[in-house]
Amino acid sequence: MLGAVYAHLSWVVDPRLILHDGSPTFHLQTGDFGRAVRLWPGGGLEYIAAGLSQVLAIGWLGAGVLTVCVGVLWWATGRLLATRGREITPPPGMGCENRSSVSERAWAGLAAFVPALLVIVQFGRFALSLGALVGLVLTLVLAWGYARVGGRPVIRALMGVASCAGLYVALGPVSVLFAVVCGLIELLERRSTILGLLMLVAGAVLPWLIGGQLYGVPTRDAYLRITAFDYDFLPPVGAIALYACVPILMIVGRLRRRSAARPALVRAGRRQWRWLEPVLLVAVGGLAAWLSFDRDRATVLAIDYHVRHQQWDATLAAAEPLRRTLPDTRVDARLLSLRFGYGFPVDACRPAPLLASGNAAIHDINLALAHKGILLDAMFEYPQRMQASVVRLLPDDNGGYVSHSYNTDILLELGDVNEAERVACESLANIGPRSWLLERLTWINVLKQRPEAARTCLNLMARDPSSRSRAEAWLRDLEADPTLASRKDLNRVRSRMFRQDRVGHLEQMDRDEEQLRYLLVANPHNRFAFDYLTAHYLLKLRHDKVADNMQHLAAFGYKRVPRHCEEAILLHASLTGDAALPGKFGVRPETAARFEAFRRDFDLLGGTKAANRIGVRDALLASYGDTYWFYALFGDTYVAWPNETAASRPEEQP
Amino acid sequence: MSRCRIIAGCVILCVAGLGLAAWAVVIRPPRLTSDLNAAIISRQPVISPDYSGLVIPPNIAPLNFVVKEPGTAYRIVIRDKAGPRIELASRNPRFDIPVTRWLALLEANKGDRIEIDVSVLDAGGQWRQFKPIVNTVAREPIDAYLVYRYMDPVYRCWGNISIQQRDLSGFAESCLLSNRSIEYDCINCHSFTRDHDDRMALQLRSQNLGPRLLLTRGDRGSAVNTATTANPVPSSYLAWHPNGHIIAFASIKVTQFFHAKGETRDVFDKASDVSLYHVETNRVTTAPALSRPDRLETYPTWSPDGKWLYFCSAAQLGMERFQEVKYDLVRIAYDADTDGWGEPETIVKAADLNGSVTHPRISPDGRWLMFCRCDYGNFSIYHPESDLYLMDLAGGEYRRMEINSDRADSYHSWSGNSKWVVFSSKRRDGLLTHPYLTHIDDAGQASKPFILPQQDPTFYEKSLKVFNVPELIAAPADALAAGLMSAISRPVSVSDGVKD
Repeated sequence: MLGAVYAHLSWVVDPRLILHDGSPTFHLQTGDFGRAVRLWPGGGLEYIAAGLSQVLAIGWLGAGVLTVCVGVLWWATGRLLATRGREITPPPGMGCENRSSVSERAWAGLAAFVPALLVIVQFGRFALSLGALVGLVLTLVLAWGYARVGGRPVIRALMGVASCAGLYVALGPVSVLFAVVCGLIELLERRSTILGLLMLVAGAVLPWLIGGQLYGVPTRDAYLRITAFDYDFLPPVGAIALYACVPILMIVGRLRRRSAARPALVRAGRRQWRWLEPVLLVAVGGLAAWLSFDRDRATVLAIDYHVRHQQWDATLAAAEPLRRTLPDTRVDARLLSLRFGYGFPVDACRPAPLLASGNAAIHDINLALAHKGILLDAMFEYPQRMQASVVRLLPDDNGGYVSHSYNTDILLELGDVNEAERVACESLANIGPRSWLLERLTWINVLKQRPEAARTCLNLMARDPSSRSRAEAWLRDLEADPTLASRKDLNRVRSRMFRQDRVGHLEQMDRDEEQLRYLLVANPHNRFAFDYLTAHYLLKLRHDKVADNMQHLAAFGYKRVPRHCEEAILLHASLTGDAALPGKFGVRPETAARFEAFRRDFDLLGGTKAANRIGVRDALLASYGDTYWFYALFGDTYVAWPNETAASRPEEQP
Repeated sequence: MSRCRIIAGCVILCVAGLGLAAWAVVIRPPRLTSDLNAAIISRQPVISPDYSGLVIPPNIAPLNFVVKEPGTAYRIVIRDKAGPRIELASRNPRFDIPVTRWLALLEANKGDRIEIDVSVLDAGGQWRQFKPIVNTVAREPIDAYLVYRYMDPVYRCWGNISIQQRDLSGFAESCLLSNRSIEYDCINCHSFTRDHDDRMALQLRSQNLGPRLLLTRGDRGSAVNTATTANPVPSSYLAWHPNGHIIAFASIKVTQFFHAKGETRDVFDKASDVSLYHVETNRVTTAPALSRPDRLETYPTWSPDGKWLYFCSAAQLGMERFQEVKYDLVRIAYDADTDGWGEPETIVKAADLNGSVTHPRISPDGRWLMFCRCDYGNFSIYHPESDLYLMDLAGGEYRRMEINSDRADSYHSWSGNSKWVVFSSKRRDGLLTHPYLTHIDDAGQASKPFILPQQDPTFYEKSLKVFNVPELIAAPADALAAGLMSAISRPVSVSDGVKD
């Protein structure tokens, strides 16, 4: 069974994406652990889990660690459900003898697997951090330890409350679950009502007392930090199920035993069906994991992962599933929008979900296409949003962090280093010093002739065990030459930087065209800026300006007119009646022929007067969905159409 | 069973042996012999931070440093005129000087010099002893605590912000207020009153309350909304009157904007006036000279006797002329008993300075006025050309100080004895603001500035945090932290003095 869990986590979910999504920053430094313990209830667990999370960077090893955690969780749940007063009955399905009935055993075997299955489901939804899982596992193991301890009620009461308080400091709010489980053990198994209620009250009050009053953390953090609620989506069904399932299973188990105690229900001797139990577990577990796996988010995260690592081919390979549809992965579906008033993750050293969205994926893909030099040939093969900014994800659109982090990469490549610095620093303040971000800041500081600041970024990056060697290589280069003049990537950006100052206001920062044109003034050979400016015109339906831009193609190394520009020229010529335009720019015959075919098919379907525009769109999608004409006529391309109004807005007609 | 025990014993012995060997080879400190038979090097060693040639307070924490010289072992000897007092040796070039012995050494050498001999064992087994590092211990102590805002280098979005207090005679640091306790609101502009150490003010930009002036007296506080019908703009740049009953502040409509080249950030004030908040009567008042519609008034600060309010003033121009906005230094007489104002007089004309005056602060003895000069505007920390200037208030002459760097040198605070100044500087890397300390002698000469010492001398080499608004205070402000928290739960409006 655990082999199947390992296979699922390793090959389907991919632990690297879990790390990339949560990405708790972990920097080895004396005293950090102590600071974490002092700063937050559960800070110690957070710190250790952040360190442990680094193994997720190595896919097979990360899957192993997750599988071990799942296994221990399964085992601990089984032991807890097998608790009978002070006696411990070996759990079913764990290789131990069991004297209970087969049906009881089968039920208990399945029940013990429920929390583990929920964990797998949550990982498949990228809605759980390793810290939350470790906290849950430790809590259940310690609760089982409590169940084994006997003694007088007074001793147990003292021990239980003290353990609950200690656990709260060590593991954080997950200790509430410890109190609930211990309380249920007292209430259901030991029939100690007062002690049971005392534990439940302790679980409810201690977070307020210790977290709120002693640590001074906000109420929500006092009760929910480092739990599955940190990551879950709205409504947090998965997180609630994860923490509620063990107490519920304990109660149900107790009720079943009470009813099973009636003689008629004992059905011994049906051992021939024991083989069914593992088969059932694999079948149910596999089905649940498969059905609940969030493929859309996995795709978006994979794209983001490869872009952050500047792996352009891998980015486009990961983007293959998006060639025909863009998932509707809105970031505000996260609980984070509730948690943080400004919408940002706030603590640099804690897991901060990436909030990678469909819109972010569009920018990622465009960046990869631009790096491959095919942005203007292939951008409409992937989803594009009508009238969207090609340079930046606006904060209102996707939340501050997301827009900032992605802008950093695009802005750097464009050569707008100051703007890249702004968004990188804001990302730093809001998601913490992730290694890829520190590397971008290194670029920026070297380009801005601040090698000391670059060195500080690299020194910090070197404290991340998984990035140490990369940071040290940078440091060696920087030591040899503070300008890093021999690095081609930096020189490329350096050649595109502004030569003269200009100022911009926050209110005007979405003026892509103005910014891109200024960049082209600074460096008339900035191919990246030219491609993005032309893409901007395409997205804004300014095919007239696309046509104007074509006279400069040769200056940017183009041997022919890119396909989407050909399409824009053909459309422009058709609308203006300038039949000479395609010939003037050398539009290829096959593109012209396709345009004619498109017009013919469009007219056959009723053209602009068609009653059923959505039907026309859907009919043309397969043949022409990757063209500028399709985008210009129907708006968002390959973007999930939750409502059909987008396709019928008259103002979007060219 | 016995075989298992034998195997376990062998394993334990092996591990212990390996550990011992590792300790002997790698960790064990070299012998502390007074005579190393060292070769003498005629230059001083490179150390980081640069703690050489300084005047240091007799109550400052150990100046821990890293020796940036190649070697396999390191030794330092800190000596005074009586001979060696502290000897440390390590295979690590990082030195953590014992606090108690260090402070005793400084106490015994007030007004005298201390020397630090640095010796390095090179790869050939030869000790090399560098020319000693010489520092002077001043007679005058620095204020015991430094309060600063600790945060990431933010632009318009922020994460964690905290107001930290550092014990300057050691490395203990405590948090007076963290924004994680208040829904991650922005907190800034902390201000203390020198003669009333039970009072503190702080500006809060709260999602729930809106902009508030957090005011605490002891462990009781209130969150004051200083906005009035006439001036609905929030308060910034706070300055306590010496009597502890009045706070001068600037009400600013501030805009952040960005440059494409050079320093990214810049600030433009569309409007600003100076007002007074009367703590006892919960009133906000101003004067025509402090709130002229054609002028921008900001950065108020009081003379130590409370009879003068100094502030910066510039013509109000459109944002497209932001480079022409240059502030004069102006002062105006004030009578706290009658709440009466005199006539304003310009102390430093921006035209004479060929720049803009910001952050005026007067030494507690009333002798000096230190201010910043930048090319234009008032947010000097975003101006690499920002420098510190010192004015002798007796004669009115001012000069550019010798402690400036080619990067932004800005916000400063005097110690109670007027002998020490802490100021913000980006000199280390051009990106991050760090606190630097300098001694001011009777002639107004400043000693070589040094960065706030940290227990880990490599702290600044791997920290991307900034230290904003450093303020020296004589007594710890821990007791005020509770007042700050209680202030948030007691919102008060100045318009009618009724809790809202």
